[in-house]
Amino acid sequence: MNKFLGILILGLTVSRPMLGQKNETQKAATDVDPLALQIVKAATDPLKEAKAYSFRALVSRDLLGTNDQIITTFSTSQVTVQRPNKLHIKFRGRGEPVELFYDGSGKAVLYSPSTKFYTTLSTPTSIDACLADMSKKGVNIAVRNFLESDPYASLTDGLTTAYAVGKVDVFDEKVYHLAFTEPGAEWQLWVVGGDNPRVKRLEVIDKDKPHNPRIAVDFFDWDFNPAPSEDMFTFSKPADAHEIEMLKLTAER
Amino acid sequence: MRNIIAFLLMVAIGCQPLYGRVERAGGNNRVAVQNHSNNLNSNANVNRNYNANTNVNRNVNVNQNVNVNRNVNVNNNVYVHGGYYGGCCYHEDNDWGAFAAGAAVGVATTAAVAAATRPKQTTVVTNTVVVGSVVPSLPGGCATVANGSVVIYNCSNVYYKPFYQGSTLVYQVVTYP
Repeated sequence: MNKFLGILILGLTVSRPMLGQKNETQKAATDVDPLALQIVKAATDPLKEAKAYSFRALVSRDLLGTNDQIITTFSTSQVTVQRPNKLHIKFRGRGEPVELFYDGSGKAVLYSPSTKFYTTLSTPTSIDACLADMSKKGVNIAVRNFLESDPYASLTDGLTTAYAVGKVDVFDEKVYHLAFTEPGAEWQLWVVGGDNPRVKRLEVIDKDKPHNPRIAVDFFDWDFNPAPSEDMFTFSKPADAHEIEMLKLTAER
Repeated sequence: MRNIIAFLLMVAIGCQPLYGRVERAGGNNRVAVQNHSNNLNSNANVNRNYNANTNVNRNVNVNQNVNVNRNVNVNNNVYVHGGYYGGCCYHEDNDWGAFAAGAAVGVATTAAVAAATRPKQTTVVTNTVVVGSVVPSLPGGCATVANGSVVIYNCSNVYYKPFYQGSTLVYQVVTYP
């Protein structure tokens, strides 16, 4: 029994600094402006409630160069989601265009139509778990928060601060400018108001990585009433398509 | 056993991170960055040595410049030496078109002259592409090499195998199959 208590005390001693950090974080987490959350909710609840939706995203992503400086890369994603668990994305960026098929059946397929190379990823059947799983396999989708089953919760869980900066003009359009921090990251959101609130732009700064790389996403062409065909989400392998492997990951964050 | 469980429980409770959820994962692949013009100079030196062995070339200074231009392309292959960073890095399309040194001026004339005086080291440099390097697109003039069900490309005796790296189709330099 004494030995058991000893181990218990040792465990608490080891974990105490971490508990302290957690408490400090929790204290800081009190500075959340409900107005900022209300605007996020207004813009993201339509994504949760829609049977299907689509949008186009222009993504710029900072990477580190071999000389340690920031190098910015660009890509576009044409996204179609069908609730509860179907997803199709057309990626255009470096190299050949690639399509992602996910029909909730336990696998996702990446396919390059121009080369007819595809790879199959075994994934969970829920869209949230699938997105998390794909991220672990190196398929990082910058708009992931907006694809999950509850985008509002996905964005606001674990916030440290949330502020409504103000109503500003972004390229001649009136938008609400919001600013957030969370452990390891700070991010901003620009939201178009009115009868049909929608997200206009997202910027995320990763505070955990050297040089604090940034991901910026501009959203276009929101459609909350698309009519995707069923075969849009299921990969139909052409007869002359070749299956290839995923490149082994280097150390990830 | 009970002791181990108690210890692990305490550590787990204390260490549980409070991560935020906004997406910021980007992988650790680095972009190869290098001064192309520095390479230009180093190859110019090589050419001078080559010309020094042939007295005729000493009288045709223009040739030296032509050779320098040609070596810009060769250098792009050397550039793949970014693989020294552990094969972690990808390399962008290095076709600089009209911005390549000398590309816009006197191409037809200088190319003909260069063909006659092309340095022997060109082939050697091309073959120094580092196995494990990754590129987003293949260079021109590649042929498919049959290797069972695996697709491999032979691009001037440099072999590339297609992979997916995240949502990007890439080609990794591999050894001869």
